[in-house]
Amino acid sequence: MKNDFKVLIVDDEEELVLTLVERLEFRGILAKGVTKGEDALARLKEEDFDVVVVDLKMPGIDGLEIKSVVEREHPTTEVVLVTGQGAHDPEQDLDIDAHFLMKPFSLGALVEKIKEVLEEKESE
Amino acid sequence: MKHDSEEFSQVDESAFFGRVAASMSHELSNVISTIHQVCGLLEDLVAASESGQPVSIERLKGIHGRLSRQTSRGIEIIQNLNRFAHSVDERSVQFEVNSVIENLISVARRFADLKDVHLQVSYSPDQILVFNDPFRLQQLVFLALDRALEVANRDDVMRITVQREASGPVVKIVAPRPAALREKTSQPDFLQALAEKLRSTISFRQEGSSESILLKISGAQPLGSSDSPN
Repeated sequence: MKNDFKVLIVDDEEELVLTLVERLEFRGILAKGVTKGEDALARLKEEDFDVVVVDLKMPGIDGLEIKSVVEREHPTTEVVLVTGQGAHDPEQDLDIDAHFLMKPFSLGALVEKIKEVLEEKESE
Repeated sequence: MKHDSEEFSQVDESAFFGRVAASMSHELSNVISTIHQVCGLLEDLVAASESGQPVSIERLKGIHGRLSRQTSRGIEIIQNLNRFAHSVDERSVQFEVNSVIENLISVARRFADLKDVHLQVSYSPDQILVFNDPFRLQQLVFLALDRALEVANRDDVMRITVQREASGPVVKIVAPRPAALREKTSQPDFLQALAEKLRSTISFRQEGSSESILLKISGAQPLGSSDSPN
C-alpha cells in the first residue's frame, strides 16, 4: 500500500504530536495534529481523514469518546487507539473491538498499523 | 465501612502506591515516546542531509529544545517517584510537611489534569516539622483529593493549602462542589480511620459555595526543635 492516506494525530502530548506529524510528512504522508479531543472533532467536521490515531487517556474528550463519534458521524474514517498501559492487553481490559497501538511505538510500527487498518477496511 | 485490620490497611496502602506508580509510569511512557520520536526525526534529518538535502540550524535547535525539555521532565518524574517510593522507608519519622505535600501534589497532579481540574497549591512560608508517618499522610491527602476530584467538573479550581495554625499544621482542600462532596464523605469511613492512624483529625466545613476538607496533623515540632515527642 502506498503512503497516499491522510492521518489525524490526537494526543495531549504536544511535542509528540508535532514530531509525529513532521515525521509522517517527511514520508509523504498527509498528517495533521491536535492536542485536544474537542479540536479533533472540530477538525473532523472540516476535512476528511482516512485514519485518526488518538490517545486513549486524555483530559476532556478522550480516545473512546472520539472513537464513538467517528463511528457514528464519520463512518469512512478508521480509528487507532494509542495506549501507554504497559503490559496490559487493552482490548481485553476495555472489552471493546478496536485497533490498538502501545506506547512507545516506532514510526514504522505506526505506519504499518495504519496500513493494516486501511487494508482490513478495503477487504471488507 | 470500618478498616480495623492491619492486613486490610496494607491492601489499601498497596492500592494507593499502585495507583501513583501506574500514573507516574504512564507519564514517563509519554516522555519516552516523545524522546523516541524526536530521535527518529533527527535520524530522518541526518539521512536527508546525507542525501544532499539541506537541514537548517533553526530546525536542529528546535529538536534540541524538545529533547532537552523532555529529558528534564523525565528526570523530574523519576526524582518525584523516587522520593515517593522512599517515603515508605520510615513510618515514624520527623519530616517537613510542605515538602512531603509538594511531592505528593507533583505525583498526583496527573489525576487532576485528566479531569481538567486546576490545582492551586500554596505552602506555608515557615518550615513545618512533624513527627509522624509521611507515607500515610500522603495517602490521606491523596484520598481526600481523589474524592474531591470525583465530584469535580471540568475547569473547576481546587485549592490546597498547607499552613501552620495555632492548633498545629493543617492541610486544607477547598472543593467547589459541596453538596456532592458532602454526600461522598458523610459516612464515617476510611478517611476517618486513616486520620486516626495518623493521630490526626479530618473534618469538613462549608465556606460559602465551597466545601473544605481540613486535616489537622499531629506530631508538630516547635520551630528549631529536633526532639521526637514521647
